[in-house]
Amino acid sequence: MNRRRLYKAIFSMGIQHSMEYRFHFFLSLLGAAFPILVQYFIWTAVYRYSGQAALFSYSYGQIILYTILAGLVSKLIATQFEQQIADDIKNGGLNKYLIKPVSYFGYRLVSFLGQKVIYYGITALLLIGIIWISSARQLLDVQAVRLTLFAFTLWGALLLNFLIVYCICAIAFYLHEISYFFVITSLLINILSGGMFPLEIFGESVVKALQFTPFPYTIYFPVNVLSGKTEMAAMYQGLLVQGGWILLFFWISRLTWRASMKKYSAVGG
Amino acid sequence: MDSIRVRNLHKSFVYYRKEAGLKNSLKNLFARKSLVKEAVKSVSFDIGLGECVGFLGPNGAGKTTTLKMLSGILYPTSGEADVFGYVPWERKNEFKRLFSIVMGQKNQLWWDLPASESIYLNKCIYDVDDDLYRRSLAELSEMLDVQELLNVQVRRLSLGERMKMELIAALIHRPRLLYLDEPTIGLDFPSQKKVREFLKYYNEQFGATILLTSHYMKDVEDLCKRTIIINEGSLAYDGPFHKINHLFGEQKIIKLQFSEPVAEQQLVRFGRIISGDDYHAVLEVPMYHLKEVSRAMLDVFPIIDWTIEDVSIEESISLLYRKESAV
Repeated sequence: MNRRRLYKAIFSMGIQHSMEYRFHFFLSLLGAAFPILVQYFIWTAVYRYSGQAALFSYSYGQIILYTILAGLVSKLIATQFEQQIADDIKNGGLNKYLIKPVSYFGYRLVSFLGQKVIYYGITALLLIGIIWISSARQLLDVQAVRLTLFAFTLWGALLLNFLIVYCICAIAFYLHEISYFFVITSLLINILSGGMFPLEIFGESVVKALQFTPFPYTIYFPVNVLSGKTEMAAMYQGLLVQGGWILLFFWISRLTWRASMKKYSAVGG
Repeated sequence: MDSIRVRNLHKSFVYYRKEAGLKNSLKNLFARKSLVKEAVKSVSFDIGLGECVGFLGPNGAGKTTTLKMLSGILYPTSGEADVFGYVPWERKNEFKRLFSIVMGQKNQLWWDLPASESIYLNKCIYDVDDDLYRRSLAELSEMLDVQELLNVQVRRLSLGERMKMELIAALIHRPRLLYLDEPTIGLDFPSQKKVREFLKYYNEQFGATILLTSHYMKDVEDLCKRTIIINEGSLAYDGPFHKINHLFGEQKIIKLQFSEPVAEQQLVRFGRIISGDDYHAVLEVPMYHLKEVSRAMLDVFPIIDWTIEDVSIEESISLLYRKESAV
């Protein structure tokens, strides 16, 4: 069977889809800028009035850099298919995949990656600019190893976040109205992943506890790999752990979806 | 050889009832009463290779549920089915390659993209050879007269145009079995006719087995020699269409509106009164009397508006039952 061709087609449909809504696309880019801007003002005020050079082990420059990088990464890995999947489950759209020799998981994953391609490119350009500026301001010590590992772990983050959200989507098989549930979980996951601010803010014990969850490996970890906060040894270790989470969540998603599919009753008589 | 063999197929759904109103909504929040609906009750039939069978029945009779079980979307509660040697709900890929299902009310194409994209995706999903794909696409789109529309976004197409695209997408891999669930619903007459002609051609040209559900008698009359009637989940009739044809074509419904009150007694001699008041009347009239009855009524009564309609499927089925119990 020629599956490569199929996934190429799905991938290209994903790209077309993201371009079809050009305005939405640019709005979402703009949307990434607002929280960063708000945080910029907050942090500026906090550092000015605290009178200290470093808070939570971050200097003023570092925290701004973290905010910008985390904002970009969380926008990059963000999924937008929760509603579609929930809709497919609720209104029977899943049927069209069930009757065809194609895997829903494969379709969703490849289409997701296709939709992300352009965003990935734009983010990469922005990152190059940010890295260049911050290294000129001596905020960032640019190392080839870190850049490579960052690019690598970013793909891992994309995949891991996809798998986490895909697992959560299986809840739509059991709850019929789920839109607000997604709003809450995605916000919570974003905070726990370090998408809003560095996890150190929550205190050392929380950071330690969160190390045992998959969340920091989607935003906090990649950003720290780039910024140099993570030690060399911890970096390789982190990459391994991220890989482990990806495998685990891949397995969980298969399991939950297989079980839920059995329960699935196509809607409409 | 049979292509479909169904034995005692049974499907029940659990559902919840909620009375109207806020109070009952609150009550439902805490204690929901679950009810069981028997959508399909021990249905059995065989369908031969290349046969075209019409599946008739009123809304909620269990037609779609049966089709969904036979395509593997739903697991049955009990019973067996064998479709081309496969058990549908095992969902084997080899089985999925054999058939297609088209649902008149459900969209299988990608809404935001041109139909050609969805069709191409299906080509990849079913691994259709390039050459065959090009030939099929050209042939199908020419027959349905939609070549010009292939590159238009699906959401910009009319219902009829979309239905034709659905058919092309469903047939691009030349399935040997085709399930059609109300394929002509909501279409105008020329489109209905076109779709029917097309399905007939496909059935004859490729020897494909077709199982079709419809509300429109004409669909079944034109396409299917054999009819299965299902009502409240059970089989009501299985046999040649021409034998029950008269049940559907024999009677017509005349709806009348008067400018002055007309008494019921005056109407009785023209046909069976189904409903009516002083200014309105609905009559059932035998087909062979239609002309003279219409003429006579127009002469006698102060009619300001009138229509002639076919007997609905629901009515026909009750006729069928009346007839059977009379035998």
